[in-house]
Amino acid sequence: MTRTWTDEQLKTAVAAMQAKRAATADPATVSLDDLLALVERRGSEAVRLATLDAVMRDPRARAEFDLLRALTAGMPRDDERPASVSSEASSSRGGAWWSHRVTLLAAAAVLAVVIVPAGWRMRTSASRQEPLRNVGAATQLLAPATSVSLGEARRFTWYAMSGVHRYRFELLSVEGLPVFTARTTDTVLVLPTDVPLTANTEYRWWVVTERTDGTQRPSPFRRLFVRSTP
Amino acid sequence: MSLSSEAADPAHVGPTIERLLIRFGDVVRRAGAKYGLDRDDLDEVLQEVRIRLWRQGGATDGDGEAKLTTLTPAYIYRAASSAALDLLRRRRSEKQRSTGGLEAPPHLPAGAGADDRLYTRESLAAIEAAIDALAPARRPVVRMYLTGYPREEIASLLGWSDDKVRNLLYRGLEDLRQRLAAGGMRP
Repeated sequence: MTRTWTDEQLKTAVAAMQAKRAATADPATVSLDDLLALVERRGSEAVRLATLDAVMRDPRARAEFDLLRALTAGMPRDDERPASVSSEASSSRGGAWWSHRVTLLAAAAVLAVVIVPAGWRMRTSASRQEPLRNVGAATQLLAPATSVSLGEARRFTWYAMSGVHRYRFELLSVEGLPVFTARTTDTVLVLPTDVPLTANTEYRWWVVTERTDGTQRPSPFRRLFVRSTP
Repeated sequence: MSLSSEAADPAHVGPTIERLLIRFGDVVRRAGAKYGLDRDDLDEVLQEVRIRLWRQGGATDGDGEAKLTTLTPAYIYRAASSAALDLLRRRRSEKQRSTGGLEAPPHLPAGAGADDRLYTRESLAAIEAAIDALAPARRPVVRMYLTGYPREEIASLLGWSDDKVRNLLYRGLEDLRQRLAAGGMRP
């Protein structure tokens, strides 16, 4: 009897190939621009087929492809929407506009990390008190309060958390731009003197706990309005 | 020293953003589950959604609400894809800097690693060569299918009909089997 390969046997063989490739440290072989063009169905079919073939050969590129593919899930295709897409036009195509927005934002969030500018200096208080222990989902921000004077606005404290390797602190402008970011093992952080805070200005800050097991837990945002008067 | 013990109030990030977060929270979790993220990751996801909504809104009240309601899917997609590319570039850069320790990709086909001992390096190379020899239109379809993607996803990605994908897949798999047989490769 002649034995032929079943689909499952072929899939197993391909899985073995992928596992062997994954064990190597070769960088991904497909450019990110090509990946994006593939998931957005841009460019010629021949080029997209070649890109897809390369992606399916490379487990690392395929993982990236899946992320980008998730991002485009639920989005109208270029050939299905006008150049200028309005929310009304989208919602009239059978799916709620919100579902598109939600899917994209969800996927974006899966992909998102906060960009931390390198090279910024961080100083921690030498006079820190041992903070309270708190085992919870996220650290709680303690100080400063949401509206403080300029002199009180430079010292930030939060609860310590069990199993935390370090904390990532971020102070943002009201437009969402980083004003100061730092990583520290402490639960108190004093802004360096060369980081300017402007009176009568609102900021935001939060702390992300980075645990020894690699997981991260962000705190909620807190407003920080810097008053000009005490 | 007097420290405020006031808990961070989620309402401080703005009622509009919180309403939006509630609305898409379920979708975030579904997307996260689809890609194998655990609950901790999902919590972080929600927080990242919050910061992105907030940044896109420009503020938590007033103008921010107005901007959020006028965001188009195209605008959001461009912002999200840009963020995604930035993330992937950083990951690639980090991996290039690190020596080894590359983690296993999250979407290896079922059975990956468990059955690779069934195949010698030479047999895998022969199978790879047989796939490489397939016609250009069939080859990526066959690879995608054998990697575990359903036909519907292949059709959606390439903008083809299901019939076209089924035809190319059928012919591609048959061609592959014939090439393997001709090369003396038996399962």
